[in-house]
Amino acid sequence: METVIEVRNLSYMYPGGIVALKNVSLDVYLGEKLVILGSNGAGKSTLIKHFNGLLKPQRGYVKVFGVDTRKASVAELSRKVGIVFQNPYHQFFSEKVWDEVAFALKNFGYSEETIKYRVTKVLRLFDLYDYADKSPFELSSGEMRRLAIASILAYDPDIIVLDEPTVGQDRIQKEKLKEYIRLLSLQNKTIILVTHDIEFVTEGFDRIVVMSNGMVVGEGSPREILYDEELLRKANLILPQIPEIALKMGDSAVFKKKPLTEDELLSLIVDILGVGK
Amino acid sequence: MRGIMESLYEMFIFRRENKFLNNVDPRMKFLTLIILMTPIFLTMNPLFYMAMFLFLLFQTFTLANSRRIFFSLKGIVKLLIMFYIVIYIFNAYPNFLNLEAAYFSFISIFRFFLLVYMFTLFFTTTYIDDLAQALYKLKVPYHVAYALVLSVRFVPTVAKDIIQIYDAQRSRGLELDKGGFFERLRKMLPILIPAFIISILRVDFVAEALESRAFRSSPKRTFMTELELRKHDIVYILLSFAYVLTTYTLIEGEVPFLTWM
Repeated sequence: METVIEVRNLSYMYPGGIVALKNVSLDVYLGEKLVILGSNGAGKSTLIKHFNGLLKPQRGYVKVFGVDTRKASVAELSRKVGIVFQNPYHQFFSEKVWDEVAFALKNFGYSEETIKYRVTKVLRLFDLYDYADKSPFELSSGEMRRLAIASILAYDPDIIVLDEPTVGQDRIQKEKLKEYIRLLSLQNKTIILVTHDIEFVTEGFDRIVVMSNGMVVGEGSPREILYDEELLRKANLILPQIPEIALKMGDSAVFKKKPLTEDELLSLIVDILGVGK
Repeated sequence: MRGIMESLYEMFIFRRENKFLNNVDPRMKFLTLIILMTPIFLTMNPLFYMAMFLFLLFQTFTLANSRRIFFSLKGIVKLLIMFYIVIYIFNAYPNFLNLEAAYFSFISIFRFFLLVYMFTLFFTTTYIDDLAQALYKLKVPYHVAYALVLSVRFVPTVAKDIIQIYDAQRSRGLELDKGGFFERLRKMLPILIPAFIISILRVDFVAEALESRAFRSSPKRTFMTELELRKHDIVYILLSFAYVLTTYTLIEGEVPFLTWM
């Protein structure tokens, strides 16, 4: 598997003396859907700000497609790594939704024709085309979130980092978000999702990295990680509902299969009860 | 820009520390600030400025969290260098190789730096709640004191917002350090507009939060921990006063405060 981001022994201390990252090493592979999971203050956001050079390593290094982030500008790295930040209010400034999406494309020097084509395409993809002439501040919170993602996707980065995209979103919005992530994955994009929303990551992701106190404390498939009660407790997280129910059932068959979704659990229960046989 | 905002954040963020200056009564600290500040406006003698600078440095190393204070000052020093260039251009015009202008510009900036240093020392070591209480005890109506304190309280919040906005826009390819002067000014808009919008929205949230907690429902205000003057507060102000008095008299040849009366 091709490594797209290579983090080695990365440490970072904020100016106030708060150590945000301690000796973090991590590989991100091409086309994977990776989750960086951790409670507030675990160092997740600090880590992803190293991916496009917003923060430069104080110790260790970060390489993106083989390029050391200390030797490249944020603009150069951002073409490869698009970060969608948590709060859309931190980026909207244009009068129109259209201009908001076109902003990055203009900064990167694309031609008018390309800008028009890409903005139209991405607005249609995110069901925002009808709002193209509206102010971004007139949109609902779900639409704002979609616009923030659209404004990054417009310039087609290979790696897309989503920082806490589920905060303040209802279940319907979360399901839609999952659908967009699936769509992006089909285009062979590498997705990095940063979250503390443990329920959101039970389905649709390849790998989970758990962070706590600025360190990577665990790494593995969702099935391994989301059943590791001790690891999650150490990271100040609690089990998602389905694994918790499965563990409480105390049935070895259930525990062996480690269901993560409602459907998986239900089918196991049906098997155990012998219903429908 | 990130550096300046990080400095502002560090200067105004609420953090309890067990250092001498952090435990001095804010009323005494404010009075000391005035005592230290006043003579700076009355002389342009670099020797006296140096004496004041050494005094502040001494306080920073022995009575406060020096690391935090120096970090707060770091971003501001960068700004001062920019100010120096602007002041020099105005002073030196039209002869740009002008030693006198360089000297006067330096003195002006040194004076400004000392003031900034004093305020940094004050704000990094004063708890905002204590400041509100101090103002209230000085007979400032509580809602006025609270408004003043609130404006200070939100400096780190706004600084943090600006850091986030700066990061978000740079992630979308905004390069603030490229282009001519006007081009760079224009590039500030994507940072300033979201910062204003967020601040305006926040005003509304704060107003609602205050109202829902019955702010100003009673004219009398009580506090969980009452501020009271202690021995070390008096010692601090007296020693500061003695230092200013001695150095000013020795350097300027006249007794300050007394001769001005």
